[in-house]
Amino acid sequence: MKDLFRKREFNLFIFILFIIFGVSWRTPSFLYINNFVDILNDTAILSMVAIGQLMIIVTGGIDLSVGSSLALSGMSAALLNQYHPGIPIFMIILISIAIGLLLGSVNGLLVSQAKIPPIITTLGTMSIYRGLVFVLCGGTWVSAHEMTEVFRMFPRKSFLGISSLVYVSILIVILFLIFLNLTRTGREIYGVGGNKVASQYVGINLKKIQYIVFTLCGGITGLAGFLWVARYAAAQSETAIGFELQTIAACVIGGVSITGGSGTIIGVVLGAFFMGIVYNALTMINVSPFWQMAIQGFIIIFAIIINTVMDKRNQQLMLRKRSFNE
Amino acid sequence: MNNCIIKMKGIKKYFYGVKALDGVDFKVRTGEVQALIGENGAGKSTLVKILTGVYQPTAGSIILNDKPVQFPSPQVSQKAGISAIHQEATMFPDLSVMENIFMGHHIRNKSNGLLSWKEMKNKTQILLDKLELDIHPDTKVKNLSIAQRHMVEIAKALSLDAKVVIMDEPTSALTLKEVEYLYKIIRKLKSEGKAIIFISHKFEEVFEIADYFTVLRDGKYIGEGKIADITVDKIVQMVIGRSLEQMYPKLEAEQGDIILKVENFTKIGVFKNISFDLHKGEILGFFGLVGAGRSEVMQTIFVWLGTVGRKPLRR
Repeated sequence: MKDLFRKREFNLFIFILFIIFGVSWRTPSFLYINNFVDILNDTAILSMVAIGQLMIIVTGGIDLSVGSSLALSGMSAALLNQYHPGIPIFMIILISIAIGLLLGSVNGLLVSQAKIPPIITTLGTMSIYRGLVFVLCGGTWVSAHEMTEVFRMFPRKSFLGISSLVYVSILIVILFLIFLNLTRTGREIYGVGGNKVASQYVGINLKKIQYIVFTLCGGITGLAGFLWVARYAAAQSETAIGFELQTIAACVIGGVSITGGSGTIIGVVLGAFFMGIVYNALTMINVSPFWQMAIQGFIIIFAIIINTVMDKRNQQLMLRKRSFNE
Repeated sequence: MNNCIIKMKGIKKYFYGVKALDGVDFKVRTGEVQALIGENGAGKSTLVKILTGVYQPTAGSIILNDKPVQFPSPQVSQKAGISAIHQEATMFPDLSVMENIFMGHHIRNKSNGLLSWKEMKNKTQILLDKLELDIHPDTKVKNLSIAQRHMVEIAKALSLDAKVVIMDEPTSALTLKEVEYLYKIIRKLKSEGKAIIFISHKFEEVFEIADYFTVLRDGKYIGEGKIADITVDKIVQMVIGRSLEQMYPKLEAEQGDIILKVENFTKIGVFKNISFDLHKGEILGFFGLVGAGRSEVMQTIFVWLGTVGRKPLRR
C-alpha cells in the first residue's frame, strides 16, 4: 500500500481526480457519461501513438516524425479509398499499418545502422514525410463525400456505447502491455535505456532494439493515421501537425524519464487521458480559445513539477532511511 | 582436484598500435582464488575484457578445459561459464534487483513463451538467501548501497551458473565490514569448486583471500606463484619493478596558521559531523572508500547548499 503512494502513476491519477472534481463543481455537465465517452474518443489515438513514443523514449531516443508519418499513412489510406472504393476496409487498414511500419523502419535504420542521433534523424524525416504528403495529394483535400461510407464509419461503429476507435486503442494497450512486460525483447528495451554498456555485457543487441522500437512506433502510427482521417472524415496536408509534441507531452506527464530507462504504459495512457481532460475541461468552463493553449501548457508544466517534486521527496526519504539504519 | 579450467597463452592486445598486453600467460584453477595483480594501466582490465569476450586478442590463445576456444562476444563467454563483476557500473538503476539478475536471460514459460516473473522471483529469493542478503527482489537497484549492488552482481553471476567468477576491484567501494562479508562469500564459492579471479592492487587483500597470484606490469607478464610461498616485499617489487623506499621520499613541511576550520558539518543522508582544520602550507589528505562522502564534503563546502550545522570560520 505504501508503495502505491510512491508511484508516479498514482500521483497523476489523484491529480486527474482533483481536476475532475474541480471542474464538475463549476460545470456539473462535465460529469455526464457522454462527456467521458467524448474524452475517451479524443484521447484514443493519442494514447496509442504515445505508447509508440514511450518505447522510443525508454531506449533514450525520441521520434519527432510521428505527426508526419500519421499524416502520410492516413493520406495514403484516404486516397486509396477515394480512387479504389472497392478495396475492402481491412486491406486499407493493413496497408496503412504497412506504410507506417515502412516509415518507422526507415527511422530505425538511420538511427541503428547510420548511427544518426534520433532527434536529428526524425527531425529530417519529419520534413521528408510531411513533404511526401504534399506530393501525394498535390495540396488538395480528401473530404467526407469522397470517402466510402464503410471507411468513414469504421471508428464510429459502437458496441455497448463505446466506439470501435476506443476498442482498437484498448487492444493496442493490452498488446503492448504484454510485449513490454512479458517478452524478453520488451524488457531489453528497458535494459538498453537504463544502461547501454551493461546491456551489451549481458548480450542485448542495441541495434536490433533501436530498429524494433522505431518500426513498432511506425506501425502504431500507421494504424492511427487511418483512424484519424476516418474519424475526422478528412485527409489534408496539415493533418496532425504538432502531434508529435502531444505524444511526447503525454509520455512526460505519465512519468516517462526523458533520459530513458523508465516509464510505463499505464502512466502514458493516464498522461494522454490527463491531456484530454484538461482540453475538455477548458472548453466546458468556457475559457477563451485564445487562452486555452497557454493554460494547457501551464497545467502540463505544473503536473510535471508535482511529479518530480514527489519523486525527489521519495528519493530523500530513501536516503534518510538508509543513513539512519547505518 | 584443482584442475586448470582456463589457460591463456601469449595474449597480445594492441590498440591502434599501442601495446596494452604483450604476451601474457594466465591460468585459472577450479576451487581456487587467483589474484591478478598490477598497478593501474598494467593491463588487468584488458585481460579480463578479453576473457569475457568484450575485446578480441590481437594474438594468443585461450584454452578452456583443454580445448582451444574463442569468445567473439560476451554471451559466448557467459555461456562457457565465465561471469564478470565489472569495475564500472554495469547495472540497470531503474530496474528491480530481480530484473538486474535476469536481464539478458529472462526465464520464460515453457507453455506460451511469455516471461515467468513468478519463477524469476523465486529464483532471485533463493539466490539472495544463499548470499544471506536481506533485500527484496522488487527493490530498485538505485535504492541499494554500493555493497549491496556488488552482492546483486554476484547473485547474477551465480544465476548464470558461472564456473569462473571474475571480480574486478570488488572491494574498492566497500567498508571493512562489507569486505569481510565478501570474503565469506568468496570462500563459500571456492568450496563449491568455482574458480575466482580476484583483481586488486591492495596487497593485504590479496594475502588474505587469494591462493595463487599472477603479476602484470605495463602489459607484460612478470611472474606467478603460490601466495603461501611469497612475501609482500617480493610482490611489491614485482609490481613496481623496484624497491619501495625509492617510491615515497620523505619531505619535511612547515605547518602554519589555521586558514579553514570546519566543525560538525552535516548534510542529511550524505555525511554528518565532519570537523577538520586546514593549516597554511600543509597538504591535508582525505581518506575513505568510494561513496564515503569525501567529494561530497568538498563540493558542499564550495557550494554551501542545504546543510545544517555551524558555518565554517574563515580568516
